[in-house]
Amino acid sequence: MVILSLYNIKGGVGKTATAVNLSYLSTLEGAKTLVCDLDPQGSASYYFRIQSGIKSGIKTLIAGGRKIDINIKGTDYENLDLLPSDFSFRNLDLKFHQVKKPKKRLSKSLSPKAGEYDFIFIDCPPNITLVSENVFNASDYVLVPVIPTTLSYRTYKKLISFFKKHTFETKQIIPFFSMVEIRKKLHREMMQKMRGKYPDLLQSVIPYASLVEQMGIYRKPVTHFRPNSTAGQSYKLLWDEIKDRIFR
Amino acid sequence: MNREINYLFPADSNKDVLLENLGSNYKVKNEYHWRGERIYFDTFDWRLYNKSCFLFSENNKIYLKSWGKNIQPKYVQIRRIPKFVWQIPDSALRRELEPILEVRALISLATILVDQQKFRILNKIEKTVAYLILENSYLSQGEKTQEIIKLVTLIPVRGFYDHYQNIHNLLKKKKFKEFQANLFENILLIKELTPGTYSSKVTIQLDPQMDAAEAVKEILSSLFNIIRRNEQGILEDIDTEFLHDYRVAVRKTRSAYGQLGNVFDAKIYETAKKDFSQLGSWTNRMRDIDVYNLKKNEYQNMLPNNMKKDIEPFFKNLNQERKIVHKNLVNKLTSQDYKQSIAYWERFLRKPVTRKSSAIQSKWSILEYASSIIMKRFKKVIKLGESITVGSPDELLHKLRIECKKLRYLLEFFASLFPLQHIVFLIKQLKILQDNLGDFNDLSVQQQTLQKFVEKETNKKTLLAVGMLIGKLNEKQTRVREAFDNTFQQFASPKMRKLFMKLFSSGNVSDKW
Repeated sequence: MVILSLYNIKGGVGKTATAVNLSYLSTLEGAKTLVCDLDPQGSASYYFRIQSGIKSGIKTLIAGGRKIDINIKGTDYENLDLLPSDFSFRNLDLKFHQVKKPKKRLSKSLSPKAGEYDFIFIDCPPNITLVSENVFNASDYVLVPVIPTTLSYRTYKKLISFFKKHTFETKQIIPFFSMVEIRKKLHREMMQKMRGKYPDLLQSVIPYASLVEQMGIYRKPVTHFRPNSTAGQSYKLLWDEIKDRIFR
Repeated sequence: MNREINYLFPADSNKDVLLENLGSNYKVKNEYHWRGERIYFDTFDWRLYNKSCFLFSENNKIYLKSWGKNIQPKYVQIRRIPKFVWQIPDSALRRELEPILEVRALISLATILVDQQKFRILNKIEKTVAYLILENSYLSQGEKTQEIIKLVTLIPVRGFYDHYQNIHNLLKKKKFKEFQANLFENILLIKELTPGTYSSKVTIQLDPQMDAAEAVKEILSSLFNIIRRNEQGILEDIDTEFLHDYRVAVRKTRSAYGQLGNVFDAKIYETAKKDFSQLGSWTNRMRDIDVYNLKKNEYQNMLPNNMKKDIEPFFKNLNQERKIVHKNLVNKLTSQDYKQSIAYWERFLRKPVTRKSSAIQSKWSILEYASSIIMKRFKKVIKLGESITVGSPDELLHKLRIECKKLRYLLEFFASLFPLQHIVFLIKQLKILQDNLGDFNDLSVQQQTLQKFVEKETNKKTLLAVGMLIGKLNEKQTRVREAFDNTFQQFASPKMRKLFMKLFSSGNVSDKW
């Protein structure tokens, strides 16, 4: 089992869309996959037509085990399950502070699921908090979507130094460009610059596409309703490259 | 309760009635209607069945399911039916199968015709809350098509179990009876296939009081059976393991006649030696080529990236030769000579042992006989191993390898006569020594083969790559040789000697010989 989290300090970089599409793609290959929607906004849950809000709310993630079990819902796709978000997750940070070994709580709560799923995707809220540290500890790989802009570059540098300072292994970070508008000179230049500095940036790039935004209307992954579109194909290539890095 | 449930479709009901009954509470959405073949697969040695799972292809997908709890059901899209695991697209299913199938080919066990309709059951906000599958399956035998079963399957969606329970209750009310059995096992029954009927392992249950000649015949029959069962797979060239199992059984047969043949007439012993060593030499080259092909990845990994493809000519060469070698082997295995020889041994094995036919040694019970012969072989291994020093020629290691093999076969043949846990332990210890000796020998043969290839090759890049490979193999061989001393000392430890004495020298049997 591999746990992959979608994370960036910045919001609005395409985390949820990536989690939804990659998790769906993984099941097409026969894997059994769980998406954990940790973002109190509940966007991933919305895309999967599953209501946010879970029994016992925030305690679910603290207690783990059976509390997680009873809250997992099947999506409309075979082998793809979701742990829906809850509005109370906005207080997750406070809650983690109150328990023993606060940084490893999530890891512990999710560990009984290891035998059941081939992949677990965690869709994280932005910011860098105790929740993020929990996610890093629980994840085998942290997928970081990066918009090629100056601000994104700065936050990415911060993330790397945070990882180094807290002795998380930086090799578990898998960065890739997201929401790329190739006709923008700034995007092209920034991509070149960042590739020079961070050679581990994936070759695959997710373009900015209105089809991805339309996921909110269809309430389906774009890889399902338009698998052959540019956006659909980009996610496919991204997934292939990520698997290559994980299993090579 | 949250598993898939199969129901028998009542004869007096039909699809429309079933769906109408759901209609009032749920919306039913047609997912697909598919007609086609479902093919069930396993390997010749039932590797999947032995892991409590089964594999089938249908509708451009391949499915792995299990009736145990250790394996999660999986499927993957496929373009064509795979024969080997590496032909399955990279997926969780393939990763699950790789260690199970290894290099064995998938063989189709049964093909059935399926007419399948899948429906989504949607709730008020159009979320899928369950699935229904209607499936008729048929077996076609020649011209005739025979219906096997008509099933309805209810599949729950996790977290929406109340809906699932509703539909289950509704079906029960409508006289849909649950079908508890497994369709796959039903099909095996209809096709008269018995799972697990092949294993390359010799597992013979011997009675300690048995006459020695009789027991040896049991062992030989079991080996003969393996030889025969693998012939067809070699002829059809299904995968490399048919020839491998065939050769191992032939080698064990030769060893059995060689080491235990004195319980029979001298004539039998002589004929066996001739016949079975011939089978060995017929198949040597083909196995060699197979081994190189199986090592291709390993070889490529020893070379730097830019040189990996430079050894291709070596493999191209081999595979051209393989075609010819296989054809020759097919000719030999279908020849009149071979058939006659097989018939001869079959008759011999079937003939009951009589006092007259059994040679002098055979008056001992098999327990006494086995004990003495194992002990003798063990002593020989120890003596030979102790004589090997750092400067000893390779020839001695080769000799020791052969002796160890003989000892190993004896332990396997007679395993049932001794406490199992001890035999398992001894074999495990012996295997460590055998692996060291085997590696040493393989590495030296590989270097020789590559050297021979180099003599005829002219392409400079290929020469360089193969040269580098020979170097790497040589380094590895040196390390293996260095490890021999320790490995042997472990095997020849006082603890091992004591255990051999305890198990095999009771009653001073060896004095009688």
